Amino acid sequence: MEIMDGVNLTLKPTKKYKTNQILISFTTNIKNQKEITARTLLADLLETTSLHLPTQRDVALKLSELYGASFGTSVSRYGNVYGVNFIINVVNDEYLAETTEILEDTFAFLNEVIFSPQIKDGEFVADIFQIQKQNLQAFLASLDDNKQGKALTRMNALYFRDHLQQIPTVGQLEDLSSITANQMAQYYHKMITEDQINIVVSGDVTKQQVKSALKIMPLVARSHKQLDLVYSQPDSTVVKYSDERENVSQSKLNLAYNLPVDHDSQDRFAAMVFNELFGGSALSLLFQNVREKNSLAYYAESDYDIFRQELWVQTGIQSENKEKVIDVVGQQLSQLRQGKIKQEQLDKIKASMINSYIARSDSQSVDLSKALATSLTGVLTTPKQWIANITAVQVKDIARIANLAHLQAVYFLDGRQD
Amino acid sequence: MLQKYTYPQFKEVLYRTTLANGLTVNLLPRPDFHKTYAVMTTNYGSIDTKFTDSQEKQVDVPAGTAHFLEHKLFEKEDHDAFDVFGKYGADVNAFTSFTKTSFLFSTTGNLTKCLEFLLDFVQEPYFSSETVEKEKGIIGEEISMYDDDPDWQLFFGMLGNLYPHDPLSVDIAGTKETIAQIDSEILYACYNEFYQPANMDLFVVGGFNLADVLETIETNQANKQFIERSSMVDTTTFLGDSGDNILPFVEKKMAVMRPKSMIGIKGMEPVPAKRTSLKYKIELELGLYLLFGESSILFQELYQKGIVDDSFNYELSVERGFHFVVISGDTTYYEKMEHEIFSTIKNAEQILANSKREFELAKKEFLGQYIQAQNSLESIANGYEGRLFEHATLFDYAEQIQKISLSDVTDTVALFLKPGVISTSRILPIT
Repeated sequence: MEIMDGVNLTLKPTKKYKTNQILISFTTNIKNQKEITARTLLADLLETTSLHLPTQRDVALKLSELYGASFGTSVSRYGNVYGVNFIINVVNDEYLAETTEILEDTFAFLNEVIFSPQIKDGEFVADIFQIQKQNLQAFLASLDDNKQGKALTRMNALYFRDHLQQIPTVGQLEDLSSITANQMAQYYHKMITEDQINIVVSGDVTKQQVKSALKIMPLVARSHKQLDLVYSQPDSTVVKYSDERENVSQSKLNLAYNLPVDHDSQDRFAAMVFNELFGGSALSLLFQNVREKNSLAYYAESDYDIFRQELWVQTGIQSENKEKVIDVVGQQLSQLRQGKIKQEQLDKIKASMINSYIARSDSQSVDLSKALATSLTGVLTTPKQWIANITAVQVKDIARIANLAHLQAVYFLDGRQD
Repeated sequence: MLQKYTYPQFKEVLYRTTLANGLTVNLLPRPDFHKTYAVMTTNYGSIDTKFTDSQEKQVDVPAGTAHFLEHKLFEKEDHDAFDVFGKYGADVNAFTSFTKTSFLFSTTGNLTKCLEFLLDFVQEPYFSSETVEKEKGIIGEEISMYDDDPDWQLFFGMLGNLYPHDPLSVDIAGTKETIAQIDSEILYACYNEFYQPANMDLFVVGGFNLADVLETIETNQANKQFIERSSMVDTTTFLGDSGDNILPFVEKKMAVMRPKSMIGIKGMEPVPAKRTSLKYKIELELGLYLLFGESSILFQELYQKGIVDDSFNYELSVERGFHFVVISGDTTYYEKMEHEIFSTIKNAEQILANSKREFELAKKEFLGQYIQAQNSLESIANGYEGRLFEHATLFDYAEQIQKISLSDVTDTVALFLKPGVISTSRILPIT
């Protein structure tokens, strides 16, 4: 329900969990690439201190007082939409020996960290700003220490033509250095006053309780915007290749494909099954053929981002097997394109997807992210519809999707020693 | 007989029984959940490389055998466990640690079939030289992946320092050289030694019917023959032959941007027996939280000075036969961080004595965290350590924490730190 223009509240009442979980998400479209990195810094600044909790230790002690409430901020990307999220998970006092006002206290805490930042005279307080900027700098600089992550980032930079999409969701080092404490305060005010806000609450709570708890927050109406969600780019006839040498023991080979399937189309179900069958599970063609049959890799998997219409394959291999792995991956896709799929394997894949889907409904945080996604996409799929649509996917549907997937970029992190 | 354990504060009832063949079974119904999660665990891990077999023969197997065995139990003569669980729509996985090997599935349907198959695939080994050879390529790649993981290398650098002569210092997966020596005969020998029902337990948690599940398990087990063993597996050894004869320092260069440093403290006494061990573990956890946790004075000072960020962390490991603590962070100023950690260790008793308010908050924090973890079926089942803490579950942790005093914590921490067996491990960028 929209509680005021541009501010949406979704309530998920349940007694299944021993906690109450609250998500407050600020979403927007971004035009200036620097803002991606700035919003990560903003999420860090708001997570660690506030006006009345001026040090990181004050925040930590406050959370202990709230019975070890798990609190964190994060940034997210759904296609062209960028989110700054505040999530807190707090015990339901029914399971404590004493009675408390923990739910009210939790909303008061969120109010404090979101609406009372350490901004003085139009800028974030200098020492706070410096610490967080330095920490983010170190974090961004060390992202490449994870070689699988590095290969993924490089592959995306190669694949995407849009500058914003080339940048990791958390931003990049080169955009950080020029950000000032004054600009950060401006980014903060922009987020607080202009972003679309989604609030999701799950737990043993009533609408009345939540609405009254929210009253303490100085939320103001903002123009309701229909955000531009999907990023797509046309197929290129030229496949881009990039090789990089590094002194590593395992080489990484990643392949990126364009996969133009709309997030609200019926075809999205076939696309999900296709990905699962291609490389999304231990029953998939990639796992069975790259790993099990040819013993070429420990991991060989595919993944799919429907809001960016990108499909990709990640493998960790020995350098000398690169061409062979490219061949085996290509053969698997070609099998799917020709519809050479055993009915038994398709049935297993679908059964396993349906099982995971139902199993995920036992998770409170999954409930929250589903509610957020529904709010952002405007697409509501009931469990019954989801299961029926997955069940209905046939071999010919998968072949059709597989034929839409076109290889666009190949990135290789080469650990060859010579 | 089925024992019933009730936890009124957490509205939970746990059932436990030991079957005629010795298998321990824990059942925790959670009627609100669609999913059921089951994990079957053998009290056998990577450190168990030496043993005396049923013919009183001393056996010494290559490092990485337990993990290799875990991989190979999935593959049978004419089928693969992934496929069978796939047919039932269930997710299946396994993991090997220093002291345990666990096989698990989660499902929302076909529970009886899944349970029977879990018991069957773990209890009916099939190893052939062909399938064993093929696995060496896959595990070799797994080892390569860990070779490039700087956090893993930092951690094993520390274990090599604290336990230089023990199997604990070798990667759980072994090395390419040690796994090259593994054959099907070795796998059968270890299987027969350690995969005895009396050395294993099964934990089932989720939306299932208690009577049905118990009957499925009992029937399946009653129909199986196991090789009789005259004696129980000897897993009581206290590791640490090296005692305080450790390596104080190791430094490795890797393709990283930022240095990593870790301080390790070796537990020199075996942990107390039975439930006292749980109390000991929680007291140490609380003490370490007060000294090194996110609300500690040490962290606050290092953070404010820009010496560490939230990569700063500590971890207590208490397992069968050993326990140790590591404190680590990614920082350019690793020498300053190390210096401050050493100084906190030195002044630990003093700091704890002045932490009355923080201690009360820490108890709230821990209790809340234990309750939050009860939302997760996986946390409940994986948090169970069998005989190690005398069958304690998350609910026992939550009950126990409410009874601990600051002086208990101070005493336990003092006892742990007193021998002062401390080492440093670093990963530095290639310059």
